[in-house]
Amino acid sequence: MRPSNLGIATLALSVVGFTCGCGSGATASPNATQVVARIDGHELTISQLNQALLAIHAPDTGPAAQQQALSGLIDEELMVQAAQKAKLDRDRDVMTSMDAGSREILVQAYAEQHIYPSEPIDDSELHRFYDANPALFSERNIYHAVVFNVEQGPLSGELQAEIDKARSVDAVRAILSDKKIVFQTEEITRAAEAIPLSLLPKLAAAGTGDSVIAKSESGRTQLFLLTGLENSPLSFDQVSSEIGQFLTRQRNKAALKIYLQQLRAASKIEYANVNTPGTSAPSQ
Amino acid sequence: MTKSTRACVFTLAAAALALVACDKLGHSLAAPAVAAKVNGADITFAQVDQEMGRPPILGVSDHPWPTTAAALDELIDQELILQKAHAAKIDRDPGVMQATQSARRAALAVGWLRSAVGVVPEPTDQEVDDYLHHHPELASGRRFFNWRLVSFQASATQIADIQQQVARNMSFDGILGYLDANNLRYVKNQQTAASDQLSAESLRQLSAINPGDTALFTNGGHLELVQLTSEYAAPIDEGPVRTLVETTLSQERTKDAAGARIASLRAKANIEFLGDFKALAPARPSAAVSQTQTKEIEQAIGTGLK
Repeated sequence: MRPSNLGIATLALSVVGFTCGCGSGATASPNATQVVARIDGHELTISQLNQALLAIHAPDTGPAAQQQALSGLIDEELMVQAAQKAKLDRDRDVMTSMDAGSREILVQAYAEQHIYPSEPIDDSELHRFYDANPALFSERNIYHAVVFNVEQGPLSGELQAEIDKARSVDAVRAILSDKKIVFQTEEITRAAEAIPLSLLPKLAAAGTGDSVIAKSESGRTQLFLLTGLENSPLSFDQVSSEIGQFLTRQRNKAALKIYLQQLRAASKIEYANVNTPGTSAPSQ
Repeated sequence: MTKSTRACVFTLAAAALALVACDKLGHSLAAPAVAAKVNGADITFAQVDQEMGRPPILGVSDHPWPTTAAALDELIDQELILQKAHAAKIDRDPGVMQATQSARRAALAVGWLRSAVGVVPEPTDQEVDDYLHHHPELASGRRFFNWRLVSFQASATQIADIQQQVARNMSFDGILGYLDANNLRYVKNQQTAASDQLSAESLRQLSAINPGDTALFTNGGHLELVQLTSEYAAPIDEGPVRTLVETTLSQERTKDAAGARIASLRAKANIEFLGDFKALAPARPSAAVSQTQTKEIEQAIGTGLK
């Protein structure tokens, strides 16, 4: 059971997970050209159905998954036919979207084949990462805390010292109220991985009753008062696959960055004159 | 990128929209405005505008996303790699060819849906009031839940055992002892959420148990042992929630409109299922709009691309 944004969904655009036909997911049959359905004379092949099964991340190739994938494929075919009739394939916006779609596939295929390192992350590297982050794994805690969102910038040393001495929610509340400082409190429970990495070491070093400044910026300070700790370690075997994925993503991004820096240096990039010289400087 | 550049892009985007409108009447021949050239290849402001509406593919720009500068960086990086991909003849790989064709078809389909759905009417104040009345968990009846959770997999016999233990009010930790004794792997977790952040199903499940009680739920095929540790009222002002309700209602309306347009296409189409796939023919026509397509339409409407 996880919190979701069902009621109030954000309008983030999710990119369709098209694969390059080389995935190891569900496929329905080996005969790629076999026709599964005909829509106003246009044929849909088993190969397209297989691709649709991959795109919906179907766990199997059972009738329910096939029906879902085929239904989506039929809808898409109908919309494509309607778009062609309306000459939308000549509409500049639609053309830009179509080009962006194929560009994404080509860019990802090239990056996978020529830029990203192909060898798997070394086992010793996985262990190193596991050992270097005890707060996330071997000494993982679930933290119970009351968060004080204080409407004041960095707190004075004197006030900080006073709060440090207060070991309870009521005591901190009293100190802030005494000083007429506006604040709101929120009771939270977070596992280590749900805490920003910048804050985790401070919380990991703290004990019940300790206060930790989570962030402090102009006019606003967030203070955590730890009210409880629950030890809940994760073994190496439980997390090695996630660590591998995380390190692979990091390694790919680093390789991509270096590759692009070199490519940019060897390329001719001209920016349009938009009256603000230097604003579109390439990121290096 | 400064405000003046943004304004420039915005104006061009507006102009691009006007051009699209002209294009539909068959009059548009104007060349799109170029934001940058990469080894002679153009990147247009229209591309920059569209790029800002989706997550970056490469995402190595130093500028924060989504800004015009970051989107332009992203497109330049993509173009550089694209040129390499063409040189390496990646576009002739059969798997890649099929995937690019699928991506182009999907974009064309979304383009049609966007134009077919058009602009959905905004929800009225009365509709927002009614929605809030039927969903008190969003504002006046908002509640906060804290719960302990373990997810695991078990055999039918083990599930029956655990259900019996839950029915006998065995403690959460006691049941964890059973999981340990049966070598069932699990990860302990603790979660916190307000009622407005929960799915309808999760809200129903959590509302059905009392603080301190433990329950076994099946969610998405996974077993979840849950102990509600605390629950308290946390009402919030309706003001800020109204905007979010308006968005939700617009999304629902968009989804309904999209479903109706597709159903209408299906009703007129001649669809034949062949061979073994005859068994997959639905009992009655259905128009299942994918979540992605719906989001893309909502996005399009949200950004004013009609």
